[in-house]
Amino acid sequence: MSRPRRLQTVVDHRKFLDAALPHIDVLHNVARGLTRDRGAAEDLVQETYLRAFAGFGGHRGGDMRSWLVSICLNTARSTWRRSQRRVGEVLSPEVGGAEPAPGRDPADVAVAEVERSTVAAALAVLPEHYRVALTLVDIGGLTAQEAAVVLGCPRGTVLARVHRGRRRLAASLESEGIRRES
Amino acid sequence: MSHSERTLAAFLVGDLDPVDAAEYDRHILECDACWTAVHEDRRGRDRLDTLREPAPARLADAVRQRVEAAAARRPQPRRPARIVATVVCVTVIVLAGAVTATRVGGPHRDPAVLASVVAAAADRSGVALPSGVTLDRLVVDGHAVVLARSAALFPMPPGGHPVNDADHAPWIAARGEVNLLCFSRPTPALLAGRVPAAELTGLARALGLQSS
Repeated sequence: MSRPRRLQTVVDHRKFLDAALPHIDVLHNVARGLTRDRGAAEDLVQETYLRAFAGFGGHRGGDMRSWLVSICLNTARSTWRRSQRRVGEVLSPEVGGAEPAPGRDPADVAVAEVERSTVAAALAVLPEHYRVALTLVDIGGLTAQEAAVVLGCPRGTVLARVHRGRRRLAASLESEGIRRES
Repeated sequence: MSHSERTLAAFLVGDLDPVDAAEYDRHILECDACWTAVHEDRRGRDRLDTLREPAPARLADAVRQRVEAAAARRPQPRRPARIVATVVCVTVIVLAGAVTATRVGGPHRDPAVLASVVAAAADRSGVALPSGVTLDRLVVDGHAVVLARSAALFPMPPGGHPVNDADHAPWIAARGEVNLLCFSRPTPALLAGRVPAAELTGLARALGLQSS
């Protein structure tokens, strides 16, 4: 049985950018959680936008943020399957590379980068279902309900994964004596 | 997920109603396991919070450029005005071609003299002959034909062909119902009529245009 052909709809790219670009911070954070490497994260964000633009004609006006995050997650998984590696298992933790905020003490920036690298490394070794749930909710900022839609699972499952993932992450960091002074 | 873990997750996310939340607050103070779970959850959440950062400005620029490039590569939509213009152009071209074909006596672009002879043979009125050409209307063996004569050779039209391989061989051609038979010698003569081609040769012989 032949597959139905996809309806090709010509989309004004300006409408797409107006609707999708405001979510770039969320996508960037999700991509950072899924790849851990800045360069790979930025590539993932760009690929997500290109795929979303290609499919924007078929987007039925649902929640744009969840839709974009779903594409981002699927793109990351495709890349992951191609490379035969787990999401996040790309590079060793990196230091530096972020755009320094104007007026910030370079020492503070460096410390923050070390903290980010440490947390990212701990996140990268968590089982995938915990890592993805934490990435969507705690890093991407999605609600548990939005994450449930993206992952196609009940909201309670998301809450459980987030809770267990946080505890594992905290325990992992503290077992290595990397507990942050608050 | 155990009942206590489900309640804990609901408490942490703010799903419990105020009465249940207050009761769970009191429970946490008395339960080491729940107290540890809550604090580990919050520490994990706080550590993850450090990973949140705005996207660099260069990333938004790169996305915009790549989407614009992808849009430029897409085929442009055919607008209704362009479709109408295309239809009009095609119609004009077809009509102009039809008019031209009618004027020259058929789908071929014939020389003017041949078109005039064909029109005369088809009994069309108002046929204008080029100078130097004479035309006679004849009835031969019951067939109405026209015989054109000229000092100059009648050019063989598209679709015509010589009857043999000799130099200056007679040629034949057809234009609709009208068949044409042309001789170059001894003087150029063109016989045309709504007569089957096979009979046209006999009529030419009867007129002395062709030796047997």
